[in-house]
Amino acid sequence: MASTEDEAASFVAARRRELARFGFMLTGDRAAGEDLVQEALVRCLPSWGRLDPQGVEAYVRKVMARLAWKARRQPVHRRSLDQADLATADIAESSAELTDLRRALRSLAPRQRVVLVLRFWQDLSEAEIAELLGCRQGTVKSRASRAYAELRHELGGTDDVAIVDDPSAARKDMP
Amino acid sequence: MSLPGEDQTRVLRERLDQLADSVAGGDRIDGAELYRRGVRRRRRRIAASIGLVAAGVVVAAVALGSAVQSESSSPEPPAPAASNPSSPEPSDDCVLTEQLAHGVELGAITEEQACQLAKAGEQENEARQEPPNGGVFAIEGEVQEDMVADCRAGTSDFGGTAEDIDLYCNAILKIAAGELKPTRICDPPECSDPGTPLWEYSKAELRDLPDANR
Repeated sequence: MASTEDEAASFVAARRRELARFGFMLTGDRAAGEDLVQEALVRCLPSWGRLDPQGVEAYVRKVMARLAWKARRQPVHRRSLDQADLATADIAESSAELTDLRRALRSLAPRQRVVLVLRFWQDLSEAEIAELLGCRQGTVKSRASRAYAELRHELGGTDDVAIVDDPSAARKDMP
Repeated sequence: MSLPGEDQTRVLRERLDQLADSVAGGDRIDGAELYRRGVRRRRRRIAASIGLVAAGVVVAAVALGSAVQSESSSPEPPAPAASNPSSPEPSDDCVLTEQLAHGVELGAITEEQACQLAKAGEQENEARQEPPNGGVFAIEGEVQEDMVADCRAGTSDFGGTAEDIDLYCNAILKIAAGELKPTRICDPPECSDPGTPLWEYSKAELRDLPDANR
């Protein structure tokens, strides 16, 4: 039992950054993202010894995504959100565009955010997301479409320029 | 509504990646501490579950004992536990069932705990006298546009039976239309934010709601 816990602890220590990033993106909030990682670990620990070592991270991420998918929406209070952003040092270091993107991401409904993150950040196909979340592919497609539209709306644009307003980012990797 | 094209998708991915890099700050997170907190959370949950199950078992035993006592048609009223010299003295304000008295006698629980459980059993019995509401639906904070749209389109995936979804959607549509006021306001730790409006209804109450315009 101790060795299983040691393995789990080592895994978390080695992959904390990636898991925290994933948790943050799924929830739109750093603290909530850490909670999500913890909750996923709690769910995974009983079966940790039976997991394929090569597939542990994928399994933890799957649990995280499913937990985020099932989460109830938390009310968003814009003023307190702004204050929290200003009080966070790393936000001050990031660009205003990223702050807007973070706010927009956070304002999405949990299921929309989960699908958006899996589809457009993790680059999973609709079929893969449907399998991951245990829902229909049509649900993924409609949620992704709405999430993208709402993200654009939240960013104050009616076209894609609102999301890609950093021309340098848009030109990156282009031939 | 449409999905973005390939270029937009790529750029959106880059921006999301930048966002994750800029905010997550994973280097500051102690992985071992993150793990330990997860383990502690699991242990707390297990302890709470065991406590809940144990309490449920005792309450069920209390209820069963009460039922057996009430059904026994002895010409004389049953002797209180205190009259049995081998049973412990009950508190002034509670009557222990035979099972609880036996538990105290064996030293499995204290008299005080037995008394609390006896009272809990009585409350449980009282609660059973009320009509069952068949579960409670709760909506916290606000109703989202996508939930309303799903309800109108009949594509809601809340889980449960078709009737559950229908009742839930009816409530969501009425809340969205401003026809239902929050049943109460909740604060942390129950809700994540202070002053969060909460709509709570039993299934029976939801059935009584008039149909919303869809």
